[in-house]
Amino acid sequence: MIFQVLFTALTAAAMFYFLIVTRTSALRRLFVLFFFGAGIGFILDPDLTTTIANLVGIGRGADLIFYLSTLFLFFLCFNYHVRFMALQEQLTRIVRELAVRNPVQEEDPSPRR
Amino acid sequence: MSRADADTPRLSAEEANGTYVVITAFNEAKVIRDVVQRVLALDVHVVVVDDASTDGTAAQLRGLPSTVLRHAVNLGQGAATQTGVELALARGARYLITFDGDGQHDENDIPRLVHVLTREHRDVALASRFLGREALDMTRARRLLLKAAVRYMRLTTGLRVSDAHNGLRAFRAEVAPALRITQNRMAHASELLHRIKAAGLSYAEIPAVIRYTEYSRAKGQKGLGAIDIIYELLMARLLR
Repeated sequence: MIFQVLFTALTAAAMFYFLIVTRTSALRRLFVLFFFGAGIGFILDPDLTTTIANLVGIGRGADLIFYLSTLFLFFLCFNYHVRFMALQEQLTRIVRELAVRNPVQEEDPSPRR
Repeated sequence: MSRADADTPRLSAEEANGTYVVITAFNEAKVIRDVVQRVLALDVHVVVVDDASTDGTAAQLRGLPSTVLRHAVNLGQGAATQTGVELALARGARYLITFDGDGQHDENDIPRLVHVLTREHRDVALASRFLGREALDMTRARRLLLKAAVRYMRLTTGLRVSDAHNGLRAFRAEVAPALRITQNRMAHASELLHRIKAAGLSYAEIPAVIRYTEYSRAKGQKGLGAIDIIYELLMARLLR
């Protein structure tokens, strides 16, 4: 019982944080609502996961949660990898721009103009 | 050091004036001055890109008539090459050469490469370690690795090249946009071949000798670098 109260409170707090404090797109907020809503539902009624698991051919509810978590984390990693690559591209552009703008040395030492 | 001989081709004044040699260097303070001086002897323009060396590589070039750029942080050889190419284009380059700062390439191959562009009218000229003249002191393991890399590149690009990962090559300024390097690190050599294929550019190979010295071997790619290159390319393809 104490687990359910604690986790419901934590999940609800996280949900409100994402919905109200961070300003994201409507689609993402809908996803957050669904995701955390389902989480709270599963915490309050753990047997619900088993019912859904059986519907999709998985034996135990805990396994369903495990598979979904793995998928989610994989997606998250991929997402961060893409962002990392974009950031690296930006860094490259900045470093290149700086290098081209301020040569350490010019081919012709006499001033141009 | 130079191995120029009687039949080494020469650049005309016009060819030499349009030629920009982009030399990338990362911690090459011991050899970079000698490398740049040998290239300058051809009367071509030289752009050195110091990829954030920590040994004072750029300072070694003081007084030489070459442009020296410096990356604020180390980005890798592909990125350094692209930086040099962009500066050279801005300065009016017509023929671009990429050249390694560690002294493994022979500057006498530069006129041959430029002639492929000016006299054979190709877009790209590639130097190959496996055409006739043999690389000096190539280890057996490296030969096997490079041959395997060539087979892989032939398979994935359909280009009939004999050497896939030589850093010495030349291309015309007009095709530089099509050859823009986005792979910051070592996968840029393979990327170049993919781009030649995608843009339908004409190319030819010339035989070239690479000097594998204790110095270059210690600095160069480890054999397992091939795995890194394949990984970089796969990720780039997945995420394109």
